[in-house]
Parts: sequence; C-alpha cells; structure tokens
Amino acid sequence: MIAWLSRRALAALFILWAVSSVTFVATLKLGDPVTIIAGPRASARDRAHVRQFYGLDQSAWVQYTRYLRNVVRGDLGTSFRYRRPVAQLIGERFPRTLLLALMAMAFELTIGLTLGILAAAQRGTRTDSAVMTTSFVLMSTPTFVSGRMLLMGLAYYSGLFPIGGYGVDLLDHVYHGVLPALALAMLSTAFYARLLRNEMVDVLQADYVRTARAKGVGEATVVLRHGFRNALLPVVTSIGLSFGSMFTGAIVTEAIFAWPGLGRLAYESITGLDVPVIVGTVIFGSFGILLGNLLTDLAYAALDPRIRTA
Amino acid sequence: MRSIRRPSIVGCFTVLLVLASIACRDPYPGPRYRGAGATQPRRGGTFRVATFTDLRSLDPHVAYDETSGEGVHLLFDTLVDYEPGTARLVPSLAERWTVSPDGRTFTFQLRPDVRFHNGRLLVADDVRRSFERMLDPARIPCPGTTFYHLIEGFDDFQNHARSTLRGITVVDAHTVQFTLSEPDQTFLSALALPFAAPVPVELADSMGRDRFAQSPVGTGPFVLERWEMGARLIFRRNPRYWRSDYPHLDRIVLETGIAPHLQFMRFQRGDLDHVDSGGIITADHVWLQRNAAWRPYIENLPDIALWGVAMNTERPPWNNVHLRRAFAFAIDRESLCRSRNNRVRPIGGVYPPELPGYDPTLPGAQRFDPQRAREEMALAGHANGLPGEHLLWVIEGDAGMFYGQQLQADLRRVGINVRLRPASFAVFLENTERRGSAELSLSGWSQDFPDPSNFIDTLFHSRSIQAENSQNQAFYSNPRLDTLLDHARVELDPRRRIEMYRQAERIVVNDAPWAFLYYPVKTEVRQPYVRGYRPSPVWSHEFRPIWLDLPLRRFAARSSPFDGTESLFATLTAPGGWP
Repeated sequence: MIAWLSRRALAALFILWAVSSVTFVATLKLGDPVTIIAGPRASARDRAHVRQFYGLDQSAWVQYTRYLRNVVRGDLGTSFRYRRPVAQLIGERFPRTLLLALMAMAFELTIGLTLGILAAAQRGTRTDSAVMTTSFVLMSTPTFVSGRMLLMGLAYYSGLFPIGGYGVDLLDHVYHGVLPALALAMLSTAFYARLLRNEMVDVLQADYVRTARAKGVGEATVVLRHGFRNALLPVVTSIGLSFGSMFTGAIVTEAIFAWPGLGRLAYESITGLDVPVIVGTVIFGSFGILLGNLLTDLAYAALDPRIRTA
Repeated sequence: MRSIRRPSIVGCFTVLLVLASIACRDPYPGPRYRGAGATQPRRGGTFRVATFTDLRSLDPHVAYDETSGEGVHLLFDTLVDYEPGTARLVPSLAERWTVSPDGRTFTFQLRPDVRFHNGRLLVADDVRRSFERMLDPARIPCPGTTFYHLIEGFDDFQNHARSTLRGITVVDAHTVQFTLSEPDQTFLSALALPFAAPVPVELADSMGRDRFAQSPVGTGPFVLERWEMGARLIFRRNPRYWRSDYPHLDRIVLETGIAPHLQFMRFQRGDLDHVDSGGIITADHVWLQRNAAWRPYIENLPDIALWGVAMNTERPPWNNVHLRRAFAFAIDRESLCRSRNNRVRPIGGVYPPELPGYDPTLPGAQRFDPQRAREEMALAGHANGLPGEHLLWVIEGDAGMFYGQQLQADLRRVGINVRLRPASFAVFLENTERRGSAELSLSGWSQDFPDPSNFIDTLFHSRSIQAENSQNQAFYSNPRLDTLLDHARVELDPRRRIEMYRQAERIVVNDAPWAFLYYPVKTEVRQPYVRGYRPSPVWSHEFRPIWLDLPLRRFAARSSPFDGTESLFATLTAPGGWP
C-alpha cells in the first residue's frame, strides 16, 4: 500500500511539473504583459522598472527556473493585476468555489441518485420514462441556458432568490448559492440518474438478486442493499473525477451568477494577461484533479475488496 | 414505449410554454420605490451600486483603471477638484492658490482643518512626501508620473541623482509651492488626478505597498470599512470630514463582479440604486430609453472619449494623405451609430462635444461622403481600388468585431480591402503601439482630464511617438502641429489657448492620420429617491454628494406579476437599513 501510494505521489509530482511547465511556456506566447501593467502613460523608464520588478527583463529560461524554484517553496508568485500573492488570491476564492461545488454535489447526489433508484426500481413504467426524458433534456441543456432560466424564473420574476452575487455571511452565502449550485448540478444530476439507473437495471437482473428475491427478501432491501450498493462503483468513479472541479471553479456558472470563485479569477487572469494567476490556477486545478483521482482509487478499495488485493 | 413517450414530450412543451408566457410579462414596468418627498438633504442610508470589473488597487498612486479610480475618489482628496457635475476646477484640500505671472510657480494654501482617516492632521509636508513617494520608481510603480515631468528636478529625482524633488517647497505648515521647468496650463488638472492625492506616507511605508493598497487611509469623505476581494467593498461615512455640505450617506456598498445583465435586473427589482452603461445591455438600453416611467431618472451624457481608426502614417500605403482622406470619407458614421442604438454618436474631429475646445462648426470635419472618397482615391493614384488586403487590428469581443465588419463593408465600396485582426487587449496594445508594426487599428482614447491637450498632444504630437507603448498610434509627425501645440501648452490667455487648439484640430482633421468615428454616450439611471446626483463629465461617477430621500412606500402596486404575494417577496428582497 505504501509503495503504491509513493508511486502515485511521484507520478502526481511529475504531472504537476509537466502541467505548470506547459502553461508557463504557453503564457510566454500570449503577449507582453508590460503594457497592461504599466498603463498607457508609462514612459520608457517606467516600463523598464516594471520589467525589472517582475523579472520580465530576464530570459525565458531564467524566468522559468526561478518560477519553478518558487513554486517548490510554495510561492506561486505575485499577480500583475492585483499586486498580491497568487496563493492569497486563490486562498480567498477557494472556499467560495468549494461551497458552491459542495452544494452542487449535494443536489446532484440527492436528486440524481433518488431519481436513478426510482427509475431502476420501476423500469419500463411512466416514472422510468419521465425520469429518462427529463434527464435527457437536462443533460442537453447548456448551463448558459439553464442558468439564465433559473435566474429569470426563480430570482427575477418571483423574487424568491437573490439576483446573483455572494451574500454577506455563511447563511447568506448558502442562500445566494442555491441557484448557481442548481445550475451547476443540473448536468451531473441527469448524468447520475441515468448512470445509476442503467447500472442498477443490470445488477437487478443478476443471479444473486434473483436468489435474494427467492429467499423472500423485501423489495426495498433488494433494491437498496443488493442493487444500489453494487451499482455504486461507477458513480463513485464519477464523483471522484468531478472532485477536481472543486479546485478549478465553474467558469460559466460563476459568470452567470456573479459568484466570485476560482473560475472567475481564472477567466479574468486570462483576459488580463495576469500570467502568475493563470499558471497558479492551472496548477491548483490539476492538483485538485490528481487528488480526486487518488481518492477515487482509495474509495474503490474500500468499496470493493477485490481491488484491495490487486 | 410509444404511448409512454408522448405524454412526456407534451409535458416538456407545456413547461416551455409556461416559461415563455412568464418571460413575456414585464414584472417591473417602472420604478418600484419612490422618495418620501424631502426637499432638504437628509443624512443616512446605504447607497448600493455594482460593477462588473474588479478593483485592483486603492492606492491612489497606483490605481489607473476606471473602477479602481472610483473607489479612490471616495477615499482621497486632492488639492483641487472638479465642482460636481461640471469640468470646472474648484478648491478642495487647497483653500486657494496663486500662479506666478510666468505661469511656472504654483503656491497652494492648504485648509488647516483636514485630517487623515487615522486622525492625523494634514500638513504641507504631506504633499511633498506624497509626491516623492509617487514619483520614485523604486518605491511605487506609479503609472502616471509623466503628468508631472515638468516639476523641476523630476529627472534627477527619478534617476536617483537627488534624493529630494527640487520643484516642491514647503513654505510653512500649510503652504506648499510647486515650481515647473516651463509653464504648463494643464498642471492644475494634473493636480486633480488621484495620483496627486496626499497620503500619510509614514503609514503607507510602514504598512508596505501592497497592504496600503488594500487598507488605504486618505482624507476623503468615506473610509474603507471592508473589502471582500472579488465580492464587495463597503465605504463608511468619514465622521471627521472637513466639508459641511456632504457626505450624507452612511454607507456606500460597491459590489464587484456583477455582470451587466444582473446589474440591470437588480436595479429594476430595487436592489441597486444606480446603474450606468456598464450595467445596461443593449436590449435593456432600448427598453429603458422608451420607458416613460423611468425617463425623469435617466441621464445621457456624452463621454469625453474618442474612437477611430489610426492609420500608420509611417508605412505605405498609409503615408499617402489622399488615401487616408479617402478612408475617412468612406465611412458612414451615422449608420454605424444607429446600428448601435445611438449608444455612440458620430464624430468628425479630435475633440468630443463635452471637451473644452470642441468646435461644432469645425471646417473640413470628417463625414460620410462617398463621392469625395472616390475623388481622393483617384488623387491617391488608386482610382481602381487599393491593391492588396490590409490588416485592421480590433480588440476582441462583440464591439470590436461589430464595428470592424461595418468598416469593412463601407471601405470595400471605395475599393479598400480590409481584413480584421481581432486580438486580446494586451496583444492589441503590444502590436498597435509598437513602431512599424500595425497598419490600421480601431483605437480609442479617454480623457485623463478635460483639456484639449490631453487628446491632441497625446495622440498626434510627435513627442508621443515611442518605440513601444506609443500613444501616437498613427506615428504622425507634423512640425507645424508640434510648434502650434507647444505654444498652446504654455499660452496663459485661456481664450487664445483654445483658439490655438482649434487651429491644431483643423490641421489634424485635414491630414487624417485617424479616421474619427464616434464617441460613446454614457447612460445613467438612478432610483427616484436618489438625490443630489449629477453625472460628472470628469469622473466616471460622482457619488460623494448623494443623499437618499429614503423611500416610505412602494411606487407601483402592480410591480410584480404575483400581485397577491407581492408583499411577501418585497419583504424578502427589501434592502436593509431602511425605516
């Protein structure tokens, strides 16, 4: 187990290095940030000072090695735009993105899995087809449509929810987060419902389920204990994979609902050519995805004893 | 299977129909709240606004973008300021000032009773030390130092040849004197820029540059109470403020990162007190301009800004003046502006209407004249059209592409083929402001302060040509114009000075280094209970003198489609802090 973990950790480090290097090189091609930093009125002297201050006067190789050295020390650099440490900017945004992602995941799992179980248990009925059709519609609706519809219907017309924004305290954050979390959850809700339903339909036809029924086990127990639990593995995979999104933020959803999370930070940094923030958010995001994959593997082992020994 | 599928499709359509019918109703036909009817300014209340862009810095010596400038303007004062709603300079931290007859020495008498937010008294030495902080490139990356390059000793100070700035003298505790190396009629305007704001330097130094930018301390009418990064800023009334006529508001809440469509929805619902063009998308703009209930609360004010196509006069074929004129005459500016719902207006010269020096009867003003365009094409030697395809740089996004495509169509009619090159802002600037790079660029300029020199010197004086970051994007050089502008800059008689700038404009318009296209019109709309607000031709907003005629009752009974439940929703959404 320890050997396996350390192998994984090494691989993760390599991937992080590769991702940060590729991003760093790519940003060199985006353009010269000096004009944006120094402003339209800058004299040649001002520009030289800016270049020197941010080390932009040095060769790309020197910039790169210095950057890597700093990243290893945990220093992601200083934002051009805000003149503040990137780690601090990410630290401010991450809890907001995390809250949104957790709320979305709560919606996805409660609604999605309930619908999936319902559809599988009543396969071939109207309930089944209603769930399948709805989930099909939800899956095919892009967030910028469904998000706006939620916003118009539940905030603007009815006044039930605030029109975008973030709120002032935790309870208010949750209140403000309901609509964006719903919008964010829509696609995955439908996805989980369909995934679980199909998997359970298979499982419920398995021999051991027939045996259980023959033994006289109640239908609810059959569906939940035998069906649901054994159909859960692919769902866990998907949850683990979507875990990474907590670290990257949801650019479209955050934009529609003016949720000040990591997605917005990443988007702004790209349009404002804020190179340290671009690279920082990418590294942070890939770290999250790696972590998600690792947790998925661990969860597998917990759920399925056969994997543990392999 | 079939019999099951059909009802769900019908169900989907029903849902869609219901949603569509809701969407067709207008839940907020007009203002929801009106004022209590007070005639005298009242104290109290929270003024709520939103912006899409985030603030970057609240250090007045660092901030240069519009949104940050708005925050800085609430927190800091300058020696002189503009009278709200006008472009007239009036005393602020300086009670009065004198200018020597040669126009080189400015002596300011500071108010004796001004305190920083931390309670310390403002003295003349603060002005000197703040300037030294702002102009020292090793201490602060100030993007505006060039506004003050005429202060004596500027170069020595910036090169660290001397540790003090010779041109600023502290005469006594409340008198400070600036000496310039040559007269500059725009110096007072430059002193009204936030860069010139006094800060408590000892505090700023001990806090460190970055922390001071987040927890600034100034002398302004508002104090920064809290800044939640990326979400909102809360400004609290400065109880020690030296003015007696304002501020009236207890608080100003500025939410950041709120997209335009959200801003307007919030405004309609009564969650925001003011929106401007930045929060009004085109569909809402059209709706608003036709709405009689909102009309008394709408202001449309021309921006002191200019957009046009800069033609690189150093590069063939655009070194040919006839070709440039043909370009300028080929463009149908009226139709361009109409298709933007008149959110921009045509312009045929350098100065937009609100700028001193604007000449409504400018001779030779550029306008749409296809006949003239063809004649000029012939004079340029391209009667059968200009060979080749020419790259026009535009800033990425809807507007740039929209204007670019119209220009393309207009120009094709006179035989000029243009290909659009959209680029992100950074890449756009890098290429269009580098010498010998771009041929054509759709560029703009917005005032730093309302003086014609800020436009014509910046854009067309040969001094503004730089190898990179060149504000003279046409790389236009005309010794006659340079001489005229150099004289105008130091001319002490205001009327003669304006006349010289008008003359200069005629030279530029005739030489057509730019095809001047349009200036934006800023639309602002406020809730009926917002009083004391006048749109400023200088600042993007002047929120300082505002007071709220706190609303006591709802304006329109049928402002919600859910008539019966209106009060419930209103309670849920009612803004806090109201009686």
